[in-house]
Amino acid sequence: MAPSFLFGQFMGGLTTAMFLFLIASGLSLVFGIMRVINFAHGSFYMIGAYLAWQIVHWVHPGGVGFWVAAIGAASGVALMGAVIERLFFRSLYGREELYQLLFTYALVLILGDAAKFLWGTQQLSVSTPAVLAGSVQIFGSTQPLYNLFIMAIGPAIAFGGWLVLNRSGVGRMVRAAQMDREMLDSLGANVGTIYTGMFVFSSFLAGLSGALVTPIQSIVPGMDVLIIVQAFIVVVIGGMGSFWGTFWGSVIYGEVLSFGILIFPGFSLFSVFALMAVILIVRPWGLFGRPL
Amino acid sequence: MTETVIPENVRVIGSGHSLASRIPWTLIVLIFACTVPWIGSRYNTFLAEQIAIDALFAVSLNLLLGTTGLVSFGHVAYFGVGAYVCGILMKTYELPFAVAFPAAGLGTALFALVSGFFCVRLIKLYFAMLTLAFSQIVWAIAYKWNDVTGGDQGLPEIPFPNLDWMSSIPGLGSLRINDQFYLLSIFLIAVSLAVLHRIVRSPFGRVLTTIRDNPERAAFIGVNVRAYQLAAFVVAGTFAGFAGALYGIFSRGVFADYVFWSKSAEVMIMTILGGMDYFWGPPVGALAIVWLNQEVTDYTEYWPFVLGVILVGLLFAFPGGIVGALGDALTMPPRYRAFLFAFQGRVSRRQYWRKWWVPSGVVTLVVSVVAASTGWFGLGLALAYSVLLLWAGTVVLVKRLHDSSQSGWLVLAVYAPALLIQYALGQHNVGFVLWLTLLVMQIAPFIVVGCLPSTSGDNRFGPASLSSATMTA
Amino acid sequence: MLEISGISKSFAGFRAVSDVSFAVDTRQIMAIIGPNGAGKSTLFNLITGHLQPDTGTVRLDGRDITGAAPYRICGMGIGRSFQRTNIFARLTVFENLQAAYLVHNGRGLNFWSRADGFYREETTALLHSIGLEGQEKTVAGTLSYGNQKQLELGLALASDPAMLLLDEPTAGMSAGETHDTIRLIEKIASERALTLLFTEHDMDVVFSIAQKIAVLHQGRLIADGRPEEVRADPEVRRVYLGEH
Repeated sequence: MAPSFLFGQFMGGLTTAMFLFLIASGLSLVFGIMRVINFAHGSFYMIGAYLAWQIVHWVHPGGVGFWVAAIGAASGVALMGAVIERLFFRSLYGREELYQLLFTYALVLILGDAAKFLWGTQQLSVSTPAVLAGSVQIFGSTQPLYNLFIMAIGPAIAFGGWLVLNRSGVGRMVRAAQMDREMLDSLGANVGTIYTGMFVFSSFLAGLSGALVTPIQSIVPGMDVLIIVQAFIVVVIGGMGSFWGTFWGSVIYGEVLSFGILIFPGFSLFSVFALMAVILIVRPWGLFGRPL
Repeated sequence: MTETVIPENVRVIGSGHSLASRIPWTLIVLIFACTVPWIGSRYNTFLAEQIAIDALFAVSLNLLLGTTGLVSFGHVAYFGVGAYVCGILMKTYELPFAVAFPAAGLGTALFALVSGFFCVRLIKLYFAMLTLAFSQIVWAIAYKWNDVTGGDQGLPEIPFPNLDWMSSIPGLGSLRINDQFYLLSIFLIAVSLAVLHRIVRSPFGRVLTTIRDNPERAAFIGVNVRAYQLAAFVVAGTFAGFAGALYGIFSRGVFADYVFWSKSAEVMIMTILGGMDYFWGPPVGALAIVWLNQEVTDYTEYWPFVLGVILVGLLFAFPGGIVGALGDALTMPPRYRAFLFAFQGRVSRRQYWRKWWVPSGVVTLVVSVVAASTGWFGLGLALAYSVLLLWAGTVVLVKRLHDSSQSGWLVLAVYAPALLIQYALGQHNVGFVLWLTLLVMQIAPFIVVGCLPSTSGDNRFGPASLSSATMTA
Repeated sequence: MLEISGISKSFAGFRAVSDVSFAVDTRQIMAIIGPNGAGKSTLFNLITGHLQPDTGTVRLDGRDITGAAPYRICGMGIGRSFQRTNIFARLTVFENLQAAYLVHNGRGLNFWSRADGFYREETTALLHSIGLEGQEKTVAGTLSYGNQKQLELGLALASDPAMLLLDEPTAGMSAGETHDTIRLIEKIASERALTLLFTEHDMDVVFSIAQKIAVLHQGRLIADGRPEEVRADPEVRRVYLGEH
């Protein structure tokens, strides 16, 4: 086991982790505020990927086109999230959580087929933007520049999100909404707008991560389901509603997967779910979460 | 401060002493089910068995969901364990069905006991997630443990049980083994459902409902909540295991994707679609989903989309599910009857859109699909429904006009464009643009009526309804 | 009958209940009063096992029941009503009470018989004694607030308790309803030889029926004794002078 190989595995795990973190942070955020697991989060991710491909197709591929596509896709998904939240989700808030959960599942079904309808079933891909193509040698292992870029973005967003949530006025309102919606309502704050805003932001993150993953992974039906399961596990490990929890949860998950395959090739599938079960049994609110 | 606050999920179910409740529905369905091999095709028998097995699966879930208030997202794990245990015992170890079937139930019960012990200690959300985790663990094991479960190849060609003894029963000797197994399944499922029915109606079941409504209060009338939840979990799991065991033989194989979590979602949709407040709701839901699936996949590959739309419609328009909606329609609490069939009074804008157009739209869609695919029966249904729709629709229109202090006779002005244009279209052909314009002209009056301002306060037609007073749009 | 000694409970540094001790004698009617936030409901939760105390003991007839599970405490003869109405909203009034009888008499594990047939007379009798006759088939969630409170009381009584803990039994009631409720409680307490411990905001209620009063303020017990003593206690007057 050459150190460069181990380092390579480590970096690979970190890349996976940071991608997951981008997605899972949105999921964790929505849960922290609205107490709802949004199954459709993976679908937003997938739509983000497809939209990015579509925009690159229209605009000039490679070069600047990629960044335009990424932001465009994220905004498109955010808009979609806004519409869904205002038209449908709003009416479900007072009702049992089960109904909200089922609604997000209905979205998974609907959006999944919509994507199939619009973009077909073959694999699509987007090329890495020219400025980040190529790779670097670190400690004897080759690291694609793009991966390093993703690894940098992750913590940047975590830190930024944490700053906003804990240091700004908006963040204070959001945290208040998290604790006691009715109280905030009676104080005159527009709770509905806060909820919509949070949902839109989380959708933006999902769409953005979907767009950013396209140079590394091919866009294919079923990617929504695959990612939501993983995001789910990450959020359970790290703790719902906690930015840093999600961050460390992603790191743990990414590295366990990366090194777990080396040790138990056949068991990685099982062990991930077993890890999730163990955490739920021993410390349900995750490593960094707070007991509900 | 003596307001009545009705919690959202308290449904005041109609008094049930209407004609409908005197008919022995379950007996009729059972007899009908038994005759399918003779009166129906092979495909009909196949469908019927699928429905029956799913019905048992869904009812077992409802013991958790509707009776105890436990939302489990991993119920398919028990279905799967039952299927694999029975399949492995019959195929790999060549044990007879009479041993494998009870063993499947026992094995599932043990697994439910262990997993349930950990699950019931958690609150709602974490409970749901842990059930999901356990179910995915089962899936992962099924997918990877090649030696025992066949891994991703699964266990194809599970043998039928030895049903020679059936041939000696008069009338059954001439049946194919598939049909004989079908009858055996129907028998086993009927017995299981009868047992579950007993359990739900028993004191034990009553205690479960107290846990559902108010676990804190239940503890303070002396209920050991965790113990009862665990018991319910084991019972539900066991019957899901029985359903799974039957399914393995029925579909001639057990495969890992039987245990994937999307199946848990599907059975939950069946349960809620049928109506989780009613014992026979889930079987009705199973019937609806299996039948719809069959109809829809004939036309299109986008069954998930349709399922999603149905689910949305269910959540927003019919929270009581099919049985709930039927129950309301048949027992028809007086205010619904008045709303739909009495010309006196007023209908506000919100009621017009939310209480008339959305539900009637959904129901019309469903009736159209049913009518389109069931020949003469469908024709009769469509006719009867059209009459009802016309009557109730006119009533609602008239009352909406009343709400805006207009004479109810104006409804003729609403219908007139549609009648005239339809007559004219019957005589001539028109281009698309003109056709579209005419369509808009026919629909417009209905929309205009829906947007007429509500007269605040009382008018000559009656008092302002509560919702028109609080209308925002 | 009930002995509380040295009970304390803190939540994340906030001392909700601080070294509280008092006793309730058999067949006594005792009230716990105090301003909002004084810790009355927390104290109740500590006694009935919904919360674990950090220190101190709760004894019932000499037996240590500190922190025992609520369902066990119920089985030992303590009935409780809750401040926010806590009934089985989707069951009918009859089913609510009948369920309590079923559990109390150990029939909860009967998987086989029809639940409807059990304890019909007892349930009906209880219905009448709490003033809900004619409401058997009403779904509990649709009852008026006052009726729900009566049902609440009925649920507590169905377990045939020796002692009743009532958390603000007249909260949210008009003067007339309060009067009726208190008379009802008094009647039932004397008919069934019950010991009563209740919390209240309404001072008229308290002074009309309580034989012993404890006063809580910011989690501490500041007075404990007969109504006249408590009324005259200087610290009690200081605490309440701002309130009343």
